[in-house]
Amino acid sequence: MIHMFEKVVDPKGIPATNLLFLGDYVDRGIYSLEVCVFLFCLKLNHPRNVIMLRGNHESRAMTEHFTFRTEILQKFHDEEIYELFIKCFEAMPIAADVNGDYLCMHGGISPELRAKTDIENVNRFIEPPLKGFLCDLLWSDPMDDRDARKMRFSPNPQRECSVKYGLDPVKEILRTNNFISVIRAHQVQVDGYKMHRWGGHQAFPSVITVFSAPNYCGEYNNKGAVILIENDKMNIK
Amino acid sequence: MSIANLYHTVDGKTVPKLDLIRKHLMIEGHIEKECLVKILQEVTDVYRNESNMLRVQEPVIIIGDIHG
Repeated sequence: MIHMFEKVVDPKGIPATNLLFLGDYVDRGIYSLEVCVFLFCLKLNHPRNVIMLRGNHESRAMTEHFTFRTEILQKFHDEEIYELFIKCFEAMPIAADVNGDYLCMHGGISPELRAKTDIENVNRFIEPPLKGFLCDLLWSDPMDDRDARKMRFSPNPQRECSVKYGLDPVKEILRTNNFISVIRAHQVQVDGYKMHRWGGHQAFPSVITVFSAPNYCGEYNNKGAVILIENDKMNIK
Repeated sequence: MSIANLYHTVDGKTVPKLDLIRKHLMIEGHIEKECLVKILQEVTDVYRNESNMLRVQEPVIIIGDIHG
């Protein structure tokens, strides 16, 4: 992860562009502490240029079930440090609007999402519930391409919570709020990204997934990608 | 890594030295508890004052899952 940074941060440590992180900084790797400390220091230096959203792993339930809590207790032998991390995660914002064109969050949309104000009005300073609006923003997934035009929402058995969303509800949210696409993370992709082209191959994808952890869990052999938006154009790196 | 070593003042603002912390973390260097607590409390305050939905302008790099 830190190697990746050398590409986007100049030697003086000033990001050449704004940076928007879509969450899931911790768990499943052995350097979650180091990643967090580096990103927090980056954020403290450039609070307006570095935006860090919350992912589903930035929660008590996930960090207890996976590796982050154990990592912190091994490195610090101190429950207080872990509790401060949880407080920190609960304070992270949950969505971003890039240029007024892209709606960004970790997981995706919710059946309860109509307008941007729905996001602005939710209480985010909590452990994410197992269902409902805040859960969906952090947990939901786009449907498989073959189902996306057939259904609005469906259950999400792989996650054991939240929903999968199809083309129609995404289109409605994009149209109502004047966005072009939803950009989200949350699912490993072989190439590090996926364009969910549910409107046909010519149409701009309604949903884009970006995943930046290469060789996830040491077993997927996937690439990590990031999206650069500049001069109204999108590039994958 | 201690608070005294890590923090410096830039434009009247006391912030962590980025290059120093990056090099220190690359060698898996230790961070004193007091220092980590300060970083966590400061960054939590920054997040807490942000709204649920933030506006970001281009040029921007969007980064997905990192997972430690």
